[in-house]
Amino acid sequence: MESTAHFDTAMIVALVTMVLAYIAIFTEIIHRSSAALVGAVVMVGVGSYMGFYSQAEAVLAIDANTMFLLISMMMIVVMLRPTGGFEYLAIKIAKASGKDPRKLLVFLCMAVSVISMFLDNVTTVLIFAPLTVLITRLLDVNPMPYLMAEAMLSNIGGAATLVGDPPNIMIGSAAGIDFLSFMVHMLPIISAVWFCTVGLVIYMFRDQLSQKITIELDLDESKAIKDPVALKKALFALTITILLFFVHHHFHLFPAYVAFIGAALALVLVQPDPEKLYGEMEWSVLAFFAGLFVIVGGVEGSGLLDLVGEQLSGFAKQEGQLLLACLLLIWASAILSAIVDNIPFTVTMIPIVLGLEAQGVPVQALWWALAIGVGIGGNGSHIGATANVICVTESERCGIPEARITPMLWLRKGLPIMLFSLVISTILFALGFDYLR
Amino acid sequence: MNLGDSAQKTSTLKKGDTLGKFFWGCADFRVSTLPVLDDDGHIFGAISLYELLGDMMLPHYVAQAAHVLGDESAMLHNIEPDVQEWCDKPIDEFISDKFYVVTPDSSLTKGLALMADKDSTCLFVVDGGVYQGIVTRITIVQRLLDKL
Repeated sequence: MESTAHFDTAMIVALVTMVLAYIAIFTEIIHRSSAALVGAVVMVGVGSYMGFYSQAEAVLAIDANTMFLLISMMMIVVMLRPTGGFEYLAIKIAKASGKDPRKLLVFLCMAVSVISMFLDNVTTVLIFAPLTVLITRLLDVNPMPYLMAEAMLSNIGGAATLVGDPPNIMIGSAAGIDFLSFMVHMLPIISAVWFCTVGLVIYMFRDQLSQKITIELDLDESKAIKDPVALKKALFALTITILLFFVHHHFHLFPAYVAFIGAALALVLVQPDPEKLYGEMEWSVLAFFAGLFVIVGGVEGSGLLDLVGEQLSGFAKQEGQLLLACLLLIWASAILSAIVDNIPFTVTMIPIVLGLEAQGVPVQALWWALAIGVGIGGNGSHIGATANVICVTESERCGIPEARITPMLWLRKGLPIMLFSLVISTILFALGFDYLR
Repeated sequence: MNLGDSAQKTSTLKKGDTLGKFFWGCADFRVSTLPVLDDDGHIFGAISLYELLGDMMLPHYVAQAAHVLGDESAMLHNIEPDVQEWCDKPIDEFISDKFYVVTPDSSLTKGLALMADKDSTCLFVVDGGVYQGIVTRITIVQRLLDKL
């Protein structure tokens, strides 16, 4: 098909605005949420002036399904966090590892991964990282491999489900993918990546993990739970939410609405102090997402993303090229996600993939490729994902020189693990391509 | 009664003094914070045991999990500091600019309000820029009891 759109001034202005906003976000000249909001204001201003974008279009560009899903899952987490349930679990599994450092690593990573599949992995790591340092110090082992593994495997765990990672929420919302379908398609690949990553972590840190634990862990898990009644209620609400996620498509319920049902249930049961609840919500994250949606909406309004979609569709439509396009997308999004924040990249890619769909390209496999790439890519560097930054900070704060995770250490250990994960994903993706498309 | 009446004289510190001098000052006067004065005798900083002991022997990951710690964790003994090494350190890197000043005429209520609002354990009483003493909740109670 011949291209119908041409590169024009509006596209250049929109592109420059987006690039400048992204530079401000990535370089952190100002806080990323401020950069996104300023970028959004500029985009709406220039778009309105030049006639390619309006205030009404900007409001519509904010994906309410993503925003409300994030808000309600944040609410549940904020109600669950102070109960002490996470601490209880961490101590229990540390004791269950039976003085075996490898088992301790696998158990901790398993817990972090499973929780990250359903709850925000940043919160999970924020709670588990200091506890991991404490547990490993009490057992007189180096916390460094445990912290690195937890960061990486929480990212991998989050990649498995629709609600595990913000990019997945956005992809699922844009593509209309339901929770179960997302999990059924992603879980086999992510499970394989999980096992390979754990195996590789154990191999790469074999020196630290071969140290025998001789000390009894002197932590009392029974004292970890500060509010057992609130914990039970919040867990009940979370369980209902997760169960509803599995069947939401049968009842034509949006994932955001399901999450709101869970949050509303938890609000009624737990009855948290509103000031505390809303005070602990991460509004800056929500402002960041809203700003990004408005910025990319402006670029879309200029017609630039349609043009990119048109150009790419010629390639993706060719017989046998779709698989290649998917694999390229996996690797490109992974490498970019290792270097910069994966969320702006995902927000930008979504309309391009939708544009390809409008051109008649079967895009289902491209959605999975995007989710895999951005999900795994974060493991490539110490700044590739927020969970990594938290674990690196924790390793520095604990004041143990041999536990410090330096950027070079991450490149030496984390990057090969990420590349190996990508190779595994590529092979499995290619093998299961007929199923995935 | 005003804060001037409740103030307790303490020793003071200046840049270059050692933490040993600070520890002894705290122990001698039974206070947890001491002011640091410049060459003109004006307060420009403070050192608090609250923060210092945290730096010395309370890693954040232990503080966060205080409620689940057992009594027999051998590792917790290992993080007790080398006191002599700490006593020899200069105070300079531990000086905080977080301190609050009142005048001798300030009321007790104002003092308590300031401590509550700033989440502070003490106030420095200053008259004409010159340090007069420290007010803590204990010194206030002591003066109240003195009136009996």
